[in-house]
Amino acid sequence: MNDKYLTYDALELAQDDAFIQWVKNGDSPMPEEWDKWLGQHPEKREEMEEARLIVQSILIKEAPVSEERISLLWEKIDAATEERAVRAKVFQLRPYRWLGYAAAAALALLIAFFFLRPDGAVTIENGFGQVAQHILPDGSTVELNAGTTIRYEKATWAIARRVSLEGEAFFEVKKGTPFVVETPKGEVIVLGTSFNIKTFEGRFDVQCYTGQVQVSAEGKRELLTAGQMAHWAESDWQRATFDATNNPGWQRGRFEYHSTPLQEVFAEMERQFDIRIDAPDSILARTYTGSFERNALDSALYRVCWPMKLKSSRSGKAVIIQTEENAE
Amino acid sequence: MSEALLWSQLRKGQKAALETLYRAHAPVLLQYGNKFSTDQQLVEDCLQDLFIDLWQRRQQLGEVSSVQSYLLVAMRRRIVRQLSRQQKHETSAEPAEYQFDCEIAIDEQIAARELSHERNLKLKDALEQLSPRQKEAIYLKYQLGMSYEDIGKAMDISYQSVRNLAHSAISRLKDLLIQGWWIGFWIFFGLY
Repeated sequence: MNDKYLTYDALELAQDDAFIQWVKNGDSPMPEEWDKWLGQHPEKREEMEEARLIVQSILIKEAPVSEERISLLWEKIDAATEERAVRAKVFQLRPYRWLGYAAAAALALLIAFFFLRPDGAVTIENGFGQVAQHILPDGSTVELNAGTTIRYEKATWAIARRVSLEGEAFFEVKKGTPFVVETPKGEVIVLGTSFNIKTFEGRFDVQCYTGQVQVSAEGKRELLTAGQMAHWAESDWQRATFDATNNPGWQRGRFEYHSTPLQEVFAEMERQFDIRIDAPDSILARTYTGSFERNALDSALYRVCWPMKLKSSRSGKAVIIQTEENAE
Repeated sequence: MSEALLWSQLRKGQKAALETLYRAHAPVLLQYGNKFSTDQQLVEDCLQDLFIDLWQRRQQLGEVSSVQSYLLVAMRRRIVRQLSRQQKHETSAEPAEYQFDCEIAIDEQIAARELSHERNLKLKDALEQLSPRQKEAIYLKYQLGMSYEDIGKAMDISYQSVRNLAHSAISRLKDLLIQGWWIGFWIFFGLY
């Protein structure tokens, strides 16, 4: 037994790790030795009793953690750390309601924009007013919102799965080597998962729907798991959670906003309806909370303008937005 | 199976070791995390990311003297980072002093046996006045059995500072708890 204890008073003893262990659960590295030591140094009994009293009296109230919570969390960790070689999950394409009427038009446009250059670079440019779907060489799928472009190298796809994206797209990635999406602001790296990336209007928003996703910009990285999203603003990531049970609104033809500048809302309407919206800057800076749907332009204009006390006038593909006072 | 063995199996890529370590330490890590924030989601996210990260970096992990201390330190760093990030976004002000919401009490049987009612009240008062840092140091030491070296690492302060934090708290506890010839003196003049 260490003779340092001879010089200890009750206070020092009460802070000694071996002593605390001995008092609290009797499993000090040397339980018998404490007793023996006490026999040899009966003069220390009082100090030791005091120290024991101090240690025993400290009681920390602790709320129990349910077994269920522990297991639920483990399932998430287990899914996120699943070894990719073990099994390749095949994602079934869900038949979306819009597919019926959009498929024919989208397919025709896709072919028109599908440039297979000699070097193997593939560019998919999806025009305004529609959603397009593309299957990548490994069977991963990407769904492009209106006004979105992706590019990738077909020749090197087997070695490096790399896609560059401008706009907004929803990816369902098959398991395999790391899958990288390059955007103007940064990268998103995944193994096998589904996620949405939005880069319109200078944004860089990533929402993870299943599996896990790593986002990086300017050397700053964040790991997202299902139901988590990251928003790049002022050279840093802001994290938030969202409801991952439904696919992104744009896939369902529904666009929702919470305190979003009208500039962004109108830009989305321009892409969705293939129109051109003109509005003064003072209006564009105002923020909108609400939603519109892709099915009818006039009702969409009404749903955005009415609560904001704005008037819209449309002739063909040109829409002019004014405040109600100015319109009269 | 010993923690050291589990740790080395984790480094070799055995998924079962990750699960065993998780199940052994998750309750304590969640309880510890909850002291800093009542945001369940934030604490759970930190724990989840911690173990995902542990798995992804398993080949770079070194030897550790105490797995529990390693995990507690890692958990604390993640939570403090997330909290300061949140504060940065919510207000432009400097991050506030962190919270350590932990109720430290005196064992009731011991209190009834050793203490007068008046001294018991004083002791409660003294315990309530402990700073968050003092509470954390006592929590890590007496609840989780961490050494002062590891506590210093976790709290990112020097060994001596941890000693000072805990020592002043424990000595106050001792003064109030231990009966001596000066008991009348204390009662008469009050605490300090």
